[in-house]
Amino acid sequence: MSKGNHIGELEELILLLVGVLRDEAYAVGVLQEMKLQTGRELNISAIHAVLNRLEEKGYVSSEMGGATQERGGRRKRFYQLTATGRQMIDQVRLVREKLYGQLNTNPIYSFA
Amino acid sequence: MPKGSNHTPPKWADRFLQWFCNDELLEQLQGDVHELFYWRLEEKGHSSAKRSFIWDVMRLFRWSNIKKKSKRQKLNNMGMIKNYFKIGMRNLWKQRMPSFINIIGLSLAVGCAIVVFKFVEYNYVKDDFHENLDDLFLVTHWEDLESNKGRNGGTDHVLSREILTAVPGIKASTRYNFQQLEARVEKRIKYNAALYVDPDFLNMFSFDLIEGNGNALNSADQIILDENSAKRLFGEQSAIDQPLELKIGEEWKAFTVGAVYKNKPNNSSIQIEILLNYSHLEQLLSKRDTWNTSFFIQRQEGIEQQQLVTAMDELLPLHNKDNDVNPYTYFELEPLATMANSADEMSNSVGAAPNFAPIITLTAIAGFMLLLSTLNYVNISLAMVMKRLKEIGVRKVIGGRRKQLIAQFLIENFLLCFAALILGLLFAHSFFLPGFNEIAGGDFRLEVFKNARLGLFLLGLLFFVTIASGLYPAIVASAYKPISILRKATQKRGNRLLSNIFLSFQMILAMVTIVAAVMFVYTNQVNQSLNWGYDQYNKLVFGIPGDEYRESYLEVIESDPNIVDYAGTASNIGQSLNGVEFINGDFKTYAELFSVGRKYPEVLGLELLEGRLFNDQLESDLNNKLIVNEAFLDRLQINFDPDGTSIVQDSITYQIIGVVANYHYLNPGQELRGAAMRAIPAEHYNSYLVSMVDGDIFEQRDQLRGDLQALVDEKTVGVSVQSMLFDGFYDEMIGIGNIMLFTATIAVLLAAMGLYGLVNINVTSQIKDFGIRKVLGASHMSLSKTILSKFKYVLLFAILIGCPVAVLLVGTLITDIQHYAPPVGAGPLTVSVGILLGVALFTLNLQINKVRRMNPSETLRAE
Repeated sequence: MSKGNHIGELEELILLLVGVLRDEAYAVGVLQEMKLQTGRELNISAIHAVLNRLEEKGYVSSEMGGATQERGGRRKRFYQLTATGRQMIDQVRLVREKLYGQLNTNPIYSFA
Repeated sequence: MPKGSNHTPPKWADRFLQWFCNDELLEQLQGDVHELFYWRLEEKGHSSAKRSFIWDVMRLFRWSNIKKKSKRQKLNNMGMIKNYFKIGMRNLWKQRMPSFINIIGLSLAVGCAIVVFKFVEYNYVKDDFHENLDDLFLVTHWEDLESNKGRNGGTDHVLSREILTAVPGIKASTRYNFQQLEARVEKRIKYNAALYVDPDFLNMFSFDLIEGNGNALNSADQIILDENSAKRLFGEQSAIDQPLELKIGEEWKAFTVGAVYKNKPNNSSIQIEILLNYSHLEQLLSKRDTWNTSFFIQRQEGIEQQQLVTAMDELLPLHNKDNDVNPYTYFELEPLATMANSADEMSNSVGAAPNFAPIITLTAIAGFMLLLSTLNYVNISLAMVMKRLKEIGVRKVIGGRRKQLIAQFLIENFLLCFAALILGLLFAHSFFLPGFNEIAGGDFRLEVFKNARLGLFLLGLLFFVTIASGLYPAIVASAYKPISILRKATQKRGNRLLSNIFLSFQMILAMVTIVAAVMFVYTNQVNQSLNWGYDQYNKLVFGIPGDEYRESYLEVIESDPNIVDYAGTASNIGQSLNGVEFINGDFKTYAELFSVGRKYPEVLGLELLEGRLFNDQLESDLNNKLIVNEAFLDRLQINFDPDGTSIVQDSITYQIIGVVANYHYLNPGQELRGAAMRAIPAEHYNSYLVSMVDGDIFEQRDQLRGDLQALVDEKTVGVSVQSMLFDGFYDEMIGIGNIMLFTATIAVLLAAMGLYGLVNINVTSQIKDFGIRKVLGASHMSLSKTILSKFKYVLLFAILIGCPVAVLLVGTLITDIQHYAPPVGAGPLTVSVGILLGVALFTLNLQINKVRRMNPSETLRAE
């Protein structure tokens, strides 16, 4: 990947959602959870694309689930956060927090 | 998922997804969009969910999701196809009898088709072996004739020389004129076809040199022979450098043989025979201003045909000024490749256009055969498939798709057709082609690997037969629902009707071919004993080699004790033709006018109806008196008047003195038209007709020929037997009769095999039924009746339809070939029906016997 190990905002969001959903992380689940938690509704095709990309980068792994009565007996593909995925989330968070900490919390300009 | 809701995702979008989506991703993606659909259905309502579903599917249509052929898939396919082949082989073996019938039937038809292909190829593909084929042209032109515009393949000789000097872009050219020449080798004279050509001839056309110098034509005193001519003139010894004289005009010229070429290929329009330098023709015709020649040119590379024609047309104004009789309108170049096929479109053409009648007849026969065997095949396959329904059911249940089933059946079919093709090639190679060569006098050989056209034809035939015979059964078989197969629901009986229609059709075709064969054989017999209108037996005919022999021949005739009577003549009935126009007032018609000696009609034995024959003593009979046949009077609408009936021909008024019964001056295949005889004095005789005492006519002929040959030095004397003059025609008719017999045999064989196959399957599928009936004490009669009853209507129908169709088709065909054929009447039809019924009953009987001999306990115990 030309982008190296960096991930984008959407990738990060979906990676987080996969982590949050634990054993229920499949494409539609991610879509619904994202809508629930962030109000964003993405197209299912976009979610598939991102999940595939994350799998290629090694941040998630996937396997087919068992057949259920839902959706005409068609199986789901479940995603799981890998160790590198988890590391990546942590790293992104660290960078964010570090940068956030450097923001001036005591404003110079006072309205008082 | 909402329960009880009827709303489903739009089907077409779902199908679209299935169609494009990679199989590995399909399940999860389809599941996802379906789940989303039902989620939205609850949230946003039906129409919105539908729209979103479609949108989702559209968005999923992206490169990473689209089906791609992967290497792994191909390998899978190979395994599957290999498996199909294996199952196919096993099935063929398991159903040996029907497979065998199918293979034999198809291979017979394929054999016929191959022979016909060779024949048609021979007729259509001419002159294709020349290396310079694309650059060779015959110069032709259009001219304004009095009546119409006509195309002429001959070019004015002077103009051809002007073309050579004035038109750029011609690499080589040759003139090409044919003449029949007398050739003398060591005092023996033989007639030969000879061709005057330019030395470039052998550079332009690709013929194979055997020995000698291919440039021999450069010297005017050398000639080139082909193998046939060399053998005829010089026997087995080498012809190279041998001396030979040719009589050109009135002059004997001496030549030596410069080279011998292989005989021209079968399909060459350009002859070799004897080639000699064109300068000899120029000398011969030097007194004439000009003459016509076939003029071939070879263009230089890169020159367009149109450039040549334009340059040639520029010569025309000048040419037409001097020749205002038949002015040239414009030139056209005929490519050598198409020259023979367009020979009919022009006068003075080179080569012969294909003869359509035999091509159409033979193609029709081969088509019939293919149709018959294909129908057979479809019929038997349909019945065979019924035995394999469980296999189809199981395969469908474990996920076999319809396409795969069709592919499997087609592959089995392909195996069978391939076997049939190989067998058909063998048949064609070892039986049909040699037989056909004998009948048609051709020289056809199978060269599968050398002849790309034949290879392509075979490949096409293989695929055509595979699809034509296999597709329908495959589609029918694969359409069955596994549930109805596995719970043994009764199958639809629709196929029965179709099978019966096919079988009826086969029987009708068989019927027609039988009638054709019976009619041809019968007609040949009738024609053999046809009254020729004169006594053709015990008569010999021979030509007089030259005026100087007339007297000495007469001495031989008069001293031969075997000769009863003789007559001199210039026309020989049965050999000569001389169609001229006769005029009776407003009536004009063409009729034959023969010039004969005064005793000729009497010696020939013509049957006098009215008036009198010529009188040998009456000098006045030599003056414009005619003896005519009945048809002559009919066609000119005149009545015979003993006191004098006159008729005009070429502004001479003839008087008819006698009427004779119609006589066959043409072979019995053709209609007799009017014919008249006029008497000529002895000095115009060029041949004699002698009538012999009873005895061996061949012995008498040989003796007479020996006596005459003793008088003649250089030429070979020929004596013909009058009653054998039409033998060529009779042989040809026997040949056609044999082809018809062969066709009928194959057609009957195919129909019988079709019937056998169907009955076989019918009986086998009901074998338990028969077993039970036997146990219950059914008589043999009643068992036979059951089997017969299924096919009797088919047979009856075939005969009822077949008879009128045969009368129509065969009647038209046979009167076209043999004008005096007897009508297709009750006799031949009865014989044909008898043959068909006999074969059908024999075939049915084979199965009935099987049922009779069957032990019911065997069949009932099985399973």
